[in-house]
Amino acid sequence: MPYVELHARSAFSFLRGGSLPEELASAADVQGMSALAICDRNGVYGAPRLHGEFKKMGRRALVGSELTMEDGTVLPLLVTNRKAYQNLCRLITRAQLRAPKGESRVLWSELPEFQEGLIALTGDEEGPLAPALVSNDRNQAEEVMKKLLRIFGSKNLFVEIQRHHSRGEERMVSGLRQLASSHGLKLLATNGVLYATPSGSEVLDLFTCLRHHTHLDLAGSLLSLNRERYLKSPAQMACLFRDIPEAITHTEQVADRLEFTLRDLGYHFPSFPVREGENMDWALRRETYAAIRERKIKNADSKFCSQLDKELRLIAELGFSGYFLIVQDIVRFARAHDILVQGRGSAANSAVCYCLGMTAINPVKEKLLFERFLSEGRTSWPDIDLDLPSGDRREKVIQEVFSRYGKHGAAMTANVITYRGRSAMREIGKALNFPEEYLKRFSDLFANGDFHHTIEVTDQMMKAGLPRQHPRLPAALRLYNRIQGLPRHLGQHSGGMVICQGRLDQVVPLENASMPGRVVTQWDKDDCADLGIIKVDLLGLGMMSVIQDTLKLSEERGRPVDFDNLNKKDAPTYELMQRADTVGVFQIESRAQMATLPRMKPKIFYDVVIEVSIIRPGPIVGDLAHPYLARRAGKEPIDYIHPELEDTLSRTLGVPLFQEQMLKMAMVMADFTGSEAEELRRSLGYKRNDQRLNRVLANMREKMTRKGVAPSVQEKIIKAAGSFALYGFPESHAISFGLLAYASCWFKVHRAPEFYCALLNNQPMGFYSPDTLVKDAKRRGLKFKPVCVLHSEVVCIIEADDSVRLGLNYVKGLQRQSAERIVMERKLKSFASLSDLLHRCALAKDERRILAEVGAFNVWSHHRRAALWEVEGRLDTGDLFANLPAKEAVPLLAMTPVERLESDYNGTSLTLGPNPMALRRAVLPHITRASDLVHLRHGQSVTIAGMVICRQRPGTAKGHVFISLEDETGISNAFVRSDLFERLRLIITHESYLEIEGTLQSWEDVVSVMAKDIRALDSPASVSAPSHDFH
Amino acid sequence: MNYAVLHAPEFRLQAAARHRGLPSDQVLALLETMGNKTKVAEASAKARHHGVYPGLSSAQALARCASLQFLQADPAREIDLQDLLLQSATSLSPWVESTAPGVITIALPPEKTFTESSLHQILGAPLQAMELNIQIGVAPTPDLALLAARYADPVHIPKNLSVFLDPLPLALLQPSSDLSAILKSWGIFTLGALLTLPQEDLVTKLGPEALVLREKLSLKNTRPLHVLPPLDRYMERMELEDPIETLEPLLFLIRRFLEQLGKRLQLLWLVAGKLQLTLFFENKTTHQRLFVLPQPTLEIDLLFRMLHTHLENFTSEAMVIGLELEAWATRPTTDQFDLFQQGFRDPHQFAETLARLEALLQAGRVGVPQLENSHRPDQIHMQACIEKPELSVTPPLPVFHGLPLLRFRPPLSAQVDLQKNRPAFLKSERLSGPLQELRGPWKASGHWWDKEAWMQEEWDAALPNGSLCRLARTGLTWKVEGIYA
Repeated sequence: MPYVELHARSAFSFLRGGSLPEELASAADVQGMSALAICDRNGVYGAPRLHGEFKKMGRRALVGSELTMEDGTVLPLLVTNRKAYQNLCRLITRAQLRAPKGESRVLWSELPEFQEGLIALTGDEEGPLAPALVSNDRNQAEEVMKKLLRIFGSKNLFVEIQRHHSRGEERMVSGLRQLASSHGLKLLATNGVLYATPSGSEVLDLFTCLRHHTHLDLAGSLLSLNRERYLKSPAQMACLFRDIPEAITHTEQVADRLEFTLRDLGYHFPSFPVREGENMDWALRRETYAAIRERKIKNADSKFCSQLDKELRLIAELGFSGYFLIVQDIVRFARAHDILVQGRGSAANSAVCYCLGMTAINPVKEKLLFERFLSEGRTSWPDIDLDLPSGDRREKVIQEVFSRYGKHGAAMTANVITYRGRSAMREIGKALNFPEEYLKRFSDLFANGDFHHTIEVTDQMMKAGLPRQHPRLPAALRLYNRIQGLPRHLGQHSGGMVICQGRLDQVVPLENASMPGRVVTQWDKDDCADLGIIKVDLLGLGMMSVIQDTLKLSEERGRPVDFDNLNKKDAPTYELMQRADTVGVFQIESRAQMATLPRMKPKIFYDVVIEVSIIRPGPIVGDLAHPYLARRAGKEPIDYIHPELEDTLSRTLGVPLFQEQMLKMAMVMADFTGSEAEELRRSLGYKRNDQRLNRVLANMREKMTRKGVAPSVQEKIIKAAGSFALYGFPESHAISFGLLAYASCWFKVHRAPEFYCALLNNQPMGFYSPDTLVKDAKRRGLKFKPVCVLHSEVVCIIEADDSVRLGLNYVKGLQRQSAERIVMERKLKSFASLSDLLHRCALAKDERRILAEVGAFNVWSHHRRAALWEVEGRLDTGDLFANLPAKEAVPLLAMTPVERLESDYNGTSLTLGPNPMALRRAVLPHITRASDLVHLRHGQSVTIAGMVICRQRPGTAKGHVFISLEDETGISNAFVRSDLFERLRLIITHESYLEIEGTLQSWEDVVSVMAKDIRALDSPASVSAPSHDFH
Repeated sequence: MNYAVLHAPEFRLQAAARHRGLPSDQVLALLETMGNKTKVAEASAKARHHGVYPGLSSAQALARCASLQFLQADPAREIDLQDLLLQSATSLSPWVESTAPGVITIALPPEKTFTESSLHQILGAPLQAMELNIQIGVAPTPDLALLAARYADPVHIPKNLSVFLDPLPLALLQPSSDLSAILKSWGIFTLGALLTLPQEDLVTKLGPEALVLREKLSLKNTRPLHVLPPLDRYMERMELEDPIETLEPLLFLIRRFLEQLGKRLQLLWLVAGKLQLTLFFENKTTHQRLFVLPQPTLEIDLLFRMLHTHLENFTSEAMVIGLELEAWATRPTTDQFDLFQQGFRDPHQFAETLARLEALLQAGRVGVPQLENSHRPDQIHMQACIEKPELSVTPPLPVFHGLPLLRFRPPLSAQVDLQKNRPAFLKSERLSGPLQELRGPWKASGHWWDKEAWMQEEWDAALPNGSLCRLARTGLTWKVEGIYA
């Protein structure tokens, strides 16, 4: 007997469902079900994923939702047509937006407004009828039934019955049958599915505990009675309801009425207003050619123009002109408000984007593949990602988009936060009633990346203190594996915005983000992309802020820079890169990048592009980084894999580094069409699972075999594709990032005061702490001046003598308003004395102390302790002689150098004084200084020591760790093998100062120490600068 | 007058370690949760030697010493240890103050003279024998005596006070964290440095707390002690030279303990409300049993019988090396029946009968059954008869409108023949025959997260004689759970 499950919840009901929509889809496939309706709680979160899976299987994903009503009961609704879907989305949005996150309630009174096209079920044990039936209150049940009938009518209301082999349920079924019969309503059988297979009930029990803030030992009757709420086959359901067969047949009848699927979403990207008599295609063409003149684009020759025409024609054919105009409008807004903006990603392959100012790269000149951005086979919208300065400036652009399209017309895309590693174990531990101490230790011990190839989760748990024989260990491991990847909560994407023609809340329900003023969709960016909803990424980049601030400071100081036409052949800039003197610059400042730069020795801009791409997880996984360097150094012959690929791979010496090359290889070697290449591109970027990629690769392999490509060549190509799947990186993206990397190096060389000042004002960002940045700058001869209440502004500034004065923003614990008050009062009238300042600025006690401690009052005091003595005590606001200098004798001794150092780190997280290691150098005769390492020979035993400034454990480094130590002469680097790391994990991750003994590795101007033993160094100071760890 | 201070450093750690039978000279640290973070609150001397100090996170501490053992604070044990210190202190003088956890101040009798060695003999050595780390200081004021005690190793009586105070760390005065931070920022780390600061400025700038701190160093700063009121718990304890193997000598000691406790309580017109017996075994384990008396009493025979009955049925793998008997004192007339307590003609007899029953049936099988909050059918635990019922934990009973079930306890073993996977014929001790009508199956499962996982299938069946019974299958085993009335 045919049966369709019409009431299932997925894990997207957040703690109320135990399986992913994909798992439900494959269970439905196994059970031979033609359709399935997921009714997630207060949303349609899981619908796109079910739709995507079912589309491949040729089945129908029906849409529904369980709505929490104002009285706490839960009403399941099913969608018959697009109007009904729009109603449901609007109803959910309304309830979500008026309530705090996770507490939405639908009013009974608002249901009639949105009921058109919706089918209501009477619900399960949480349904509106349940309270009356449980308490055997026939009158109340009648009242509820009448209410539902008034809203939905008898054709659109079904009496839902469920059987889960639980004692007493027949009373409920019998009550429901009576009600159905007395009101002439049809019965509908469902299993109220909460998980795909019986084993899913354990996950549900875990979630129940988390939801009720309890643990399994106490949860008692809150837990599942049995494991019956899985997706049952039509035969099983028919057997369960053999006495009421019509309840089964009605499911198919209802399913037939549910015509709507997400294919019929009705989404339209907004039209862009154009001049009268003009369409959007013409407007885009006009804007593009006008921009060539306005922006004085060089090299706009016939080749360039023919590329433009080709692109404009394709854009018009695909109906994307409006999209380009809208993005250009956002770019225009940003520029008009003095906000630096630069496109990244594949948009840089487009000459149109270049002309319209969205990207900074001339794709014709750089020979970039336009098809990577847009091709005839493309059905989904192209990505134009805009990088903006992070912080307030990006927020201004986002708020502008919200204000243009309205609260119901624009939203941020969601970001599904899933259970992973520590978060998963922590929740499981809570539910299994493991001691809190054990959970804390697990978190503390494995706070910095879990690598299953170096330590198994069982070992991790035992290291944290759980015995191997613990009776709950098997359950913990089972749950740990099961909940990996299950949604935990919905966050917001860092910058992805979707906009809509008309009401976005009719396309996807919207809800409040935790950030005020932000609204998010219930779907993430992949869901939106799969359903053809267009996304504009407005991403924040700290380096964009730095560059904008540097440009501004340079202009203010009378030495402006033309950023758009920066000289890309500047020798000192390349020399800086070749020396790996790149602390503070964009992308090429990491430990791995710095180790490659002396080998790579960039000489031209494209070398920077390669450098940016080469130290990526993708190429490392694919074992591609070293071949490139070896070939570049002439130590290895160039191999183009196949003669036909020479043109594609010549720029990267035969090593496929970019996605564009991958697509071209597929087109050349496997005769992939534009559509197939497009599918390959999408599967390379699809991170949820690799089934999609495997399908494409299988097709590719088949086509290559058919074409007679040798198996060894096929193998190389497939291997390259596999590595890109994890971390796809298009060439155009590398060029955009390479531009920022080059520019930041250029600024570091030619505008050092402005660049460092901007860097300090945009922290936290990048790999290094302000302390390391200051020390790096000082090594380059730059001067820094301490925080001073008479000279410092709120932020860092450059003084007349080219030195950088630290801003009051660096004083920890000094409120922004207090800093502003100091500056404002000083501008009104200079402070006569410390006492005068304290009287006029009304600083809190702690603020006075911290300013004294970091030496900000030293202009009036002999030393910091004198100021500390003076600021202590009650201020007499009526003191007429307050502005006179204090004359009392100070009984305190001045701070020692170590004490000053500690005060600096405590108060500003950085010191302008000596490096802590300098203070200990005399008692560390066996330690080699960082600057002396270059004079030692390869293989020599050596011991280095210093303050840890960076710990890195790249996902592709097989668990090995890189540590950077700083001493008074510079930075030394150490490589720690994974086994040594696991053995000394706690020392490495928790000590601020380390002593590392090992063997010197000196190769091609890159020096590091292969660690053999690591010890905590007796700290030169009780505090240190923060280190940058495991990012 | 001189004051002595008995000081147990790392008091909370020592209390927790003592309970776990760990000597405090091991590598130990006490953890404390502050907000979201767990930090080391106290560390043993050996742990400090490895660089483990208060304030480190548990991971940092483990990084410095992999063999470090963590302990959790145990307030109940801290009270016990404080009591022990108090009781020891009373051997020196009746004027004893429980100044702070781990700090007992004693006003020494003026007529007696104490030396470092005599104090060690009277106070220090007995406590050290119990593996406690104790420091004792003597000085003219309670505060200075405390400073001397904190500095002592293990007993210190300073001869020249100003020389003694000068190098002592400021932390010994235990200033508040705010004041400590200010003084640290001023570079004031020792008591000598504190004394160099002008008192007037100190008070103007730092307020009354600074004055209190300064005055602690003054010879004039004496104060009356808060002498303790009578205890509400009295304890007798003995560590045995020769381990006990049989019941008889143990009972002899217990009888003696009871008599001593009886005398002490009688002097104060008090009676025992509860008794707690703790036995310490050679294999480092302990056995502890609390006896709640149905009615407070001081009848030694009766109390002895109760303990005797319990011990008669108790066996252990190891020999007894120590015992402790503690009595909770109460006034004879203060107890009153509450709403849920019933009056007995002879409550002690009732308690004794229950104890005998429990000895016969094993622990946990005598009492009032309480339904547990679980899906597992008939899941109960027994609550002791003389305790109040656990009203708050009784789960709400499901509303059923069917026939009442008369349960067999334990359920009857049965053999069930199946036809098409459904029960068809029942054979059991009391019910047998073909099953004429069936309802079910009803399925329930639970406790999947550990070894007590269970899964049960139930059927209701009618037999030809008209009786209705409930069958349950667990795995391949069938049982008759009961019959419907």
